[in-house]
Amino acid sequence: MRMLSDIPIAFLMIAAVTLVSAVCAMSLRNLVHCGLCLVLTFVGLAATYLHLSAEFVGFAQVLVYVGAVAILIVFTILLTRNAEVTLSPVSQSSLVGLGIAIAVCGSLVLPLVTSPSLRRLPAQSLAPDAQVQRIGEKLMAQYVIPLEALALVLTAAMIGAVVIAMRDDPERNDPSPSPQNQKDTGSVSNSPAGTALNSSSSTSSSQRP
Amino acid sequence: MEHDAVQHAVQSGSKIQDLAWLVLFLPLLGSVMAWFITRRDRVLTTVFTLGTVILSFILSVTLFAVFGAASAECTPFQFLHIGDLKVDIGLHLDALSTLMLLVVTGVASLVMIFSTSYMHDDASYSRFFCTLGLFVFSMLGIVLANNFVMMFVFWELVGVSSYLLIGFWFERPAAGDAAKKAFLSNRLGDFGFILGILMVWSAVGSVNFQEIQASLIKNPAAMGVWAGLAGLLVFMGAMGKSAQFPLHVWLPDAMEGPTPVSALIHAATMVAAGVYMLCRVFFIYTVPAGWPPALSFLGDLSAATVVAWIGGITALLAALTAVQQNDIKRILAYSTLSQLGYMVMAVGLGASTGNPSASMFHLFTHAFFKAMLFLGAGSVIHACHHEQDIWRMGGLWKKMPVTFWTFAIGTAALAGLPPFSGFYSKDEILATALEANPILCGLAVLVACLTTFYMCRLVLVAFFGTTRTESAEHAHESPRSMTIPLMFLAVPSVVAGWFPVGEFIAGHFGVRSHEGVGRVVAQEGIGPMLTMILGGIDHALFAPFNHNALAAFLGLFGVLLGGSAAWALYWNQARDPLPGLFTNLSRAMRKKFYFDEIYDSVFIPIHDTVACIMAWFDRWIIDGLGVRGIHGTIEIVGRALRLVQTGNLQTYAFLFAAGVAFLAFIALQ
Amino acid sequence: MNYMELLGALAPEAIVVLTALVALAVDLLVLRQAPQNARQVVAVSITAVGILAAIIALSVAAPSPPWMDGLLINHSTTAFLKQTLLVLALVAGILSIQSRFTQHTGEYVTLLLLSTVGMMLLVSSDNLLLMFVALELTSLPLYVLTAFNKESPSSSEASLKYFLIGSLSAACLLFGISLLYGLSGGITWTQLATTLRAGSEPIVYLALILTLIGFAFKVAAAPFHLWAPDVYQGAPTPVAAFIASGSKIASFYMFARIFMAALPGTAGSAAWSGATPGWVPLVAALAVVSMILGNVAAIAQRSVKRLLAYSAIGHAGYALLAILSNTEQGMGSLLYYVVTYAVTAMGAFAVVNVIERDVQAPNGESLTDFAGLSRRSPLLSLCLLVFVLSLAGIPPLAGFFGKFYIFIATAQSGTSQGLIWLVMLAIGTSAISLYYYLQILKQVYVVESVGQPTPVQLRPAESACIVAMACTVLILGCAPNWLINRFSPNSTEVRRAGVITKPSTTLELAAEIHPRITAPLGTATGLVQKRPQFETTTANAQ
Repeated sequence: MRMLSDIPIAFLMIAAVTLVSAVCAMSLRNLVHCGLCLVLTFVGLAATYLHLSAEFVGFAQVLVYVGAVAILIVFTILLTRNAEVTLSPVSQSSLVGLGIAIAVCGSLVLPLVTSPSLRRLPAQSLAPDAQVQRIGEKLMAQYVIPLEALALVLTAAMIGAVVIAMRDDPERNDPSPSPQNQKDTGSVSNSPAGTALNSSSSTSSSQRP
Repeated sequence: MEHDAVQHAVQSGSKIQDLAWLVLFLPLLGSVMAWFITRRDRVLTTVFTLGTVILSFILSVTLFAVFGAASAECTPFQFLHIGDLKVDIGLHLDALSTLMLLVVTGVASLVMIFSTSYMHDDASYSRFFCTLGLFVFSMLGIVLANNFVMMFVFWELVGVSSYLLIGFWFERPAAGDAAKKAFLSNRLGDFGFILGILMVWSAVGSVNFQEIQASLIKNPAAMGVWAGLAGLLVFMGAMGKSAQFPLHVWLPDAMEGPTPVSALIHAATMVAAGVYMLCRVFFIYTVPAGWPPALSFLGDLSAATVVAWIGGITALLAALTAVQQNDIKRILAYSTLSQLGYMVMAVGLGASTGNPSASMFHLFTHAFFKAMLFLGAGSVIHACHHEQDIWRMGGLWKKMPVTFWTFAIGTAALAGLPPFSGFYSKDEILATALEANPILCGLAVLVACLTTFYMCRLVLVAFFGTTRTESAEHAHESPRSMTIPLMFLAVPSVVAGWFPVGEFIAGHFGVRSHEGVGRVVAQEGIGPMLTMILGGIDHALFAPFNHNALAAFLGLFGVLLGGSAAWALYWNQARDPLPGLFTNLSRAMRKKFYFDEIYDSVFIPIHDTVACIMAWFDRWIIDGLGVRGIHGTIEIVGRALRLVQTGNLQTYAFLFAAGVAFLAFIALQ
Repeated sequence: MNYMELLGALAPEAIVVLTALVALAVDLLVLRQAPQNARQVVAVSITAVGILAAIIALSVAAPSPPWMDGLLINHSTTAFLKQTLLVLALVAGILSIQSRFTQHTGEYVTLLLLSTVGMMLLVSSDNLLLMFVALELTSLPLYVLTAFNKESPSSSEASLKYFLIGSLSAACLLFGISLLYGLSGGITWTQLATTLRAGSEPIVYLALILTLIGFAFKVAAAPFHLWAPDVYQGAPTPVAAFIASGSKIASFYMFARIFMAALPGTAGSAAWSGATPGWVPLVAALAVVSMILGNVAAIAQRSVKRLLAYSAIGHAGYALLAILSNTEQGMGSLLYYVVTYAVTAMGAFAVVNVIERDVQAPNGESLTDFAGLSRRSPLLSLCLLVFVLSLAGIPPLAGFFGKFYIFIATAQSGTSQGLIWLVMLAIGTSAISLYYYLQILKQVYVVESVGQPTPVQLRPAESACIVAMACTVLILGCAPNWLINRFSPNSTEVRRAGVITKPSTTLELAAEIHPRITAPLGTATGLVQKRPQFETTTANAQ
């Protein structure tokens, strides 16, 4: 039987840092701070992988997420200068949310701690045979179809990002101004939306039955 | 022997029964061709649609002559094979279905001839005829189906085509609403019907009528505890289509459709489909009663008893309501309801003797005289410039002699006066009831009395007395194409009762009837029956008094009582004296016992409330109303991040998580 | 392991990907300055050529054994589903011609096709890894496509909601998959099926729940349906149509496959008395909530697209019944149901698309925009009548047999009619559903249009699609056996082997009456049985 004390102290620390930084990334007011906390979360995850002897995944996590993705996010936030959010980040229905969160968390944790198979110690070391070369061979041979599919996912993501970010040319769309524009004058945003953020204004009032 | 000849013809593969396919598909073919090719041309449309229906009728006569005695089946193609469930599209021909074929195609032909002038000025003339053709096709499908699934398919098709016909004048909001009401009530019945079909199938393992019957004969307890429930659920289908209490509310409203539609669908055929179906699947009502454990308190109560009582209640309520209606079509509609209740009651009562033939007999005669009454009403309405209130007519008998005389024949038949057809069929029902359940027999006599009363009231007020309005003053006899169908229908209305149809059907159900006619017919075909009838017509005329004199005299007594009461009250009256005599009762009758009001005040608010709660709940989820209510006045500035923070998405995430918790609760409890 | 062989097995998918890239390149490089309409026509034409090529490639391809741990499965059912998906994608492309929601025609077509490739991979995988990747490949382009209408704020809003909730569910699914992998040590169906058993371990149920959530989101089953009404309403109509049809087919097929084939040991039972834990009661809970909520909430809707969204939730509930029946027949009924539903929904959305273009409403169409349609376009309203009645389950349209087949399969699967309560509920809710479907028809046929009725502008390709779909719905309803045989168990093998079993006749009454005893499940299906043309019995069966 494994008790709490059996869990390595290193894991507990890493887990604590990861969780706390994730919560901060979600709830801080300053978006730059949020971004930095996200970096910390990614670092924590990388540490977890390393702790599990998954070196390749761990380093890939550091290189890709910490090195590229998170930095990109922070740069985007800094460049768009929308860092300060004035509204309260805590929702009014936070009590309900808390209740549901506890319920979900409980329902996730309860089965984990009561399942006998998770209390057994593995017979041999589970350190994966994770040389980079082996991973490459597997990816190019056995798992070549998922690899190709992932390439398509990335293609789609790239095209999508371009389309969403691109500013539409209002004259190109239609020679005659569409009545949609004219009728829309009174509503939230009249100009064709430029970015995803701008266009995602809340229009709950206009679309309700 | 003719019987052998038939058998031989059948076996040698001359495929006479394949004519049934023609009977079934000709009306559809006619409508489709008319709709796609000749829609613009009224004459050609009429030729196509009416011609195909008449052709169908001629073929039906042939089929009746051949297969009235022997039964046959054609199964040319597989339709649906799912594991154990095998549904083949096949047609079943026997005494029951060929008789019904005659009724449907015959009445439909006459009604369509009538419509050529009744609908002459309507802009959507072609649409009317095409839809009628579609209806006839669907109705024939019900009649000929050899299995439950196929019957259900055509059952729903009949619902759709009647929806289209009731709502034919969709410019009138009342017509649209009536069509919707009819469709929805029918659908409610069909809910039970399909469930019943599933239940029968899962208990017996087949949906084919012949196979179910065979296995139920072999093992009457095959349905076990499901027998009662399956019977009731299948009956729900009949309740919807034959407008039985409490799903009867749609039929009177359906009178918003054109009068020929009322004659064809809501008098002769579609509403009779429920009764026909009950007779077709009669074998599931003769098995011993059984209920699942949850309903075991019902004990020995069989589904057939419930059927009989619901029929009886419908008959009584509708007859009482008809007494105080003033719209000529509504009176006939309630009378149809009441007669349908009669038939359903007869099926239920027949279960104890294994012989529902009385209901089929009454269906047969009723189809003719009620169609004639409706067409007569149409003729009156046509002549009075679409006036439907009987108190605004009067004195019409001199102005419209053909209509009056045919209407009078119909009234006599409906009331059950000998020697008109209604007397014989009603007598069989009374005799069955007297044997099986004296209380229901008393109720039936009361209904017979009321029937005579309201029909005499209708005739006395509309056709006699003084002319009360301008439009009635200028009324004159309808054109030839309208009166000829009336006269055609008058003949069977008189003589249809002289044929021992009941015994003929009883022969189909394997009952040795007291006179043996059924057996003779079943064994030797129609020919001998005809000679027998023609040879002994006097015998046929007095048959009811010979076999159960008490029932016959009870019926006659009711007729005389009702007739004389109507005479005393309504002869030469300018307004209705009844409300003065029985204020409350008459008001209740006039208001149709408040059924519409009860439904409106109970079901519709419940329905609306549930829908609103659901919609509100969901809108709250989607809108984040709890959030927006607080922030409602603040100008929307926040864009996407604000949306994520306080708007909908957070609510979505909450509910998503709640869903997770819900599933976890189910799995881990 | 040979890349050329693999390319041969993946030829249809490769063709579609190539088509997507060619369409993008032609649009961006050659037609940059051409008028919008010409660009749309060219892009859709290229798509049509590519899709036809892929369909032909699918129909000539010989069934191959599974590739590499079930990473790629090709047999006649998957081929048929892929062809259906391709046709639906083509229709979605055709519907978007002449619509004004975007200038990025090339990108639109490319994303549509990439999503289709994702769906194609999804139906032909028996492997958790490829399943997840394919699911993402299906979803990601759909998120973007939802946001394509930049003039409409609700489009972006819907897309953001779709994306975030989708990510949430993908996270759940991934967690579930990882637990499944951890518990079984494998990622293929066979490995999962041999190791996982319902037992005392609650963690198995946790894995089941999380996996279930991922799919419940994809098929819009309540309570994970929240995105559907917003997305159906906010997304450009052709995209909404594709989400409602193609995505449903692929997701439902995979949903059923993973639970029926990979997790049979953890099924449990949802019988009224004596339910046992497992995924079946969970699916039953989702089905009950979906059927009730979808059908009741649809009554209060005023937008046809929203109404169709709620009706889709209700339909998802019926389809879940097929999954929880957990039999071969259930699988057949599910496929018949989703394929016919997809065609019907696509058709209904196609009609909505025409109306929407016609009224040019800023916030999408509403129910009243359909007023008097029967006088403005009899053809369109007739087709809409067919679609709506099929959705309502009126015979003889395909929708009825879909439901009927599911009810049969469900009623049969439980021991001693234990699941009949679900069937009763389903029939009851489908009776309710007629109410709101009739509201559409009432607008179309009864209510007068405001002002002078003007004929609706219909393009030939579009009306051809709509009429073809209406005819499909009608034909599949009149001759359901054709499609059912394609999905019925063992039919393909039997047909290939050319086995002809002894024809059964109705004279073998005993066998017919109690087929469950005498004939094992589905032995005779898929065979053309030679029945006697007719037979005579006496009137008295005695």
